[in-house]
Amino acid sequence: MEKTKRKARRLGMLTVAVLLVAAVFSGCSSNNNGKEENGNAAAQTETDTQADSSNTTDTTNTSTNKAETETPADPLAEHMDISIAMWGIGDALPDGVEDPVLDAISKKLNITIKPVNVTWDDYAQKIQVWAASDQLPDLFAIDAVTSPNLTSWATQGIIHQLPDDLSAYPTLAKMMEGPDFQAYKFPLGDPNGKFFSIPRPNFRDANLNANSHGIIIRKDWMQNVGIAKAPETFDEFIALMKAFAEKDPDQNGKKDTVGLTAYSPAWLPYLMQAYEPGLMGGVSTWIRNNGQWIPSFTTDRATEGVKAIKKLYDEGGLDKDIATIKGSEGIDKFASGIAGAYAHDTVPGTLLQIKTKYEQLNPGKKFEDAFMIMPPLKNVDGNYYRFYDTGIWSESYINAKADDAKVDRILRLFDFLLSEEGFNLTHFGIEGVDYVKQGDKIVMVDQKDDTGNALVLSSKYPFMKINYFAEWSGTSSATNPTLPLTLRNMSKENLDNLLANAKTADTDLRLNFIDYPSRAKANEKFDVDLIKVILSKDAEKTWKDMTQAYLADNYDTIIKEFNAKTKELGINP
Amino acid sequence: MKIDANKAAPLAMKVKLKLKHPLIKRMLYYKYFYILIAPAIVLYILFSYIPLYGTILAFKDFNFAKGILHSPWTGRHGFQHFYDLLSEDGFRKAFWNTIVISLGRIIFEFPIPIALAFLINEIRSSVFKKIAQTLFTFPHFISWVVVAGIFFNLLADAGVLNQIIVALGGEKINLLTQPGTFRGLLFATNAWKEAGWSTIIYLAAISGVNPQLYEAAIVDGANRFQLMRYITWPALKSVIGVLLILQIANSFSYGFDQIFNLYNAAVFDVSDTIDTYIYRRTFISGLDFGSSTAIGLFKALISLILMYMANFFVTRSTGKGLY
Repeated sequence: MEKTKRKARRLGMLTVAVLLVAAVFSGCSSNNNGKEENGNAAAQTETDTQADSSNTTDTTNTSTNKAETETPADPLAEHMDISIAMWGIGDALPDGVEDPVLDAISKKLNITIKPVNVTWDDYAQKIQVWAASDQLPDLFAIDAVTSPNLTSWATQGIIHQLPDDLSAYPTLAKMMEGPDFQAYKFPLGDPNGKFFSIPRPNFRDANLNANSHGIIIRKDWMQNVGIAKAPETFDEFIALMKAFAEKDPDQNGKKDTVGLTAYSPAWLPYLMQAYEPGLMGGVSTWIRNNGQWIPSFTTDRATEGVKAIKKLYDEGGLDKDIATIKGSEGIDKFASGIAGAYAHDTVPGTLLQIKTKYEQLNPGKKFEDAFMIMPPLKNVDGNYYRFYDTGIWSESYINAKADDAKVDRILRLFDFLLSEEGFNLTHFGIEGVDYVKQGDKIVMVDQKDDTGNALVLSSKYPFMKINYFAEWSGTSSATNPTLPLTLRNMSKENLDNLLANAKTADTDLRLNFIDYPSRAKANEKFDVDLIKVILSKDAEKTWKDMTQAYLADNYDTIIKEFNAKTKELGINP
Repeated sequence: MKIDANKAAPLAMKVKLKLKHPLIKRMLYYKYFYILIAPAIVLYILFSYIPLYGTILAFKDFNFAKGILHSPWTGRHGFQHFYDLLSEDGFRKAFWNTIVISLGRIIFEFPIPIALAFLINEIRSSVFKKIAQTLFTFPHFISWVVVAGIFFNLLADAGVLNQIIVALGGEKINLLTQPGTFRGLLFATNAWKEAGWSTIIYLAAISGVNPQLYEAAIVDGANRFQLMRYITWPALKSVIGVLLILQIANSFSYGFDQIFNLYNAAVFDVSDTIDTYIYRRTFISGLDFGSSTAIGLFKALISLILMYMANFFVTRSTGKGLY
């Protein structure tokens, strides 16, 4: 009796142990199903000795994986699965949810999109790991153009070169011919280089990017503090911000307001337009100076600008909590009437966020009566300056292992999404159901959700959550019928004024893409340094010490190398 | 091939002899325990030991096409990544901050839960004891993102603290953006959040003390302080020693969440630890696998040395250590 008990106990232990071991091993078994690799003619790769493990990115379900030698009559005849990693694609293609927009795309191109989810927090890490472990999806989005990754990927056969001839994809080809796109060729800075990615523009022309940095102010508060016109010089700006902080602009009898706040400290450098325009975007751009390129943080005007912003802070015109503002705090402060000015961008989408919050808190009042975009401040040299930088952020890369047929299909997908038809589908929904065309104007059909509010289209068509697949929303913000016309006009008037009257810093956009030995050491971050300086006791000394340290540490070398490289490429200062 | 029976015999004898070895015998006797521990050993080998070969990346320039084993070695006999890191001003600063902040944590934060355990232990009413323990433990379950939000609101320019200061006729201060006060703030907020949680272990150790010891001491006329000093303290000493060793070993990787959520540009100089510095640097220039592995290895090595040292001293002073 005792014996059988013991036996049973032993048997039980044994079973548990065996099960545990089995569980461990089943967890890390790989489902190798002998995928063939395709030669990538473009990248000269050494053969990969690693075993090819395919898990998330089992690419094709077609029997032939060899590149087609004879072109079939219909390039879309064969059905394909395309695995794609892009921010939030998991939410945009949820399992088992009907999505007519996605269906239309799939049908049109005869593809099935296999989402490989990445998020804003982990995308860079995940893609790097996949690249290292040979598990990249067919297509992935990342901002890698100026990182060391691009060089390794392009030279080590990780990403696919795009075909030289893009004539089969007219809309895409037209975009890629734009002047700002040429800089994306590899090797960087080489006009004869090859495209290894499809850049994702927010604006196809850098000049249209001027609304990406700006300041919005309360014009009703200006009247309340007795200042009739918008500030022109930096001193007038300081005076206005002080008045916002001290003269009870909201007329509630309490001293509970501040002058300028921001979306985050990174937006404060816009104020440098009055001193050193090369620093307006928060990074130190290269500018012309006596026949060579120099980083703009080294100029005397930069020092003057830093001192001026420090003065704004000391005199109480700047939000005292500027250093710790995160998330939506800044926009909340501004929309709820705590701050009188707000540094961020001035695109219609941002105006709409402020409008929505303001009108919720102040029923019966209109955003357009109380807010305005602040015109540019006059620079010490008498000119006006606007923010100027490439309007492209991030790129899409194709896995080197994709065969020619798959590359063709991916390019066709981009071509479609960039076309008017594809754009309307992914932004406004199904024609006749969600919008109607009146001539060349798009008119949205009013739709309500279950709670009686205006319907958000992406809840009906989840794919719209990644309608930035080929392009960010900037390109369409001026004509997007889902944004109120008043806000689009406000933003457009500001842009027209800037383009007509404001200059750009004396730079060359190709400089962003120049590769030189010490590039990784060029780690000056003006937005961070500016905060350190304005919160220090002696701004001028702190700033001078900082810039001296930068020069002594790396920048003396960086400036030499950079100028040597630009000479070589013929980008002359 | 024919096997010579004569030759085979001694081999069988040898195997028999081998099986008689006391260790083997003991293992066979306890075979079921070995089977039970097998999964854990397999897990360790798979996920902790096999990946160790990847640390050679710290000495290599990673090449995507060649993989880990075939990537070329870096210059300077493979130590290029380490030279690069140590020549970076920001990394040196972060390294120094990591040491200062870890020391501060041991000096200021480590004793608080011990004191708290003594105090909670002295509470007579069991209801109040439970309430106190719950109150102290509760903050541990709030994430740093939320805690940071709470403290930002308390300490902001228009926050509660400044309202009190102004009401008393003082000047406004901002503890969050002053390099002088920021580290103190780190210690205070972490103590507020985690002290109650760390108290649990000490309370468990105290409750394990034989009550007869206390009774006997009371009969002998000991007062409450003497009870604490001569009975509770010796019982706690070894637990404190072990926890101190663990804290010191972890000090190079501890506190990323807290610092990342609380710090800002104004206090980078005093609060940037290795973890936060590397996190930010990857966003500026992108790190390759080689450098990030080098940092990991560097941190692991220092933690190991620290753990050995701590263990040595704790063993010397209390007679009990980790091993």
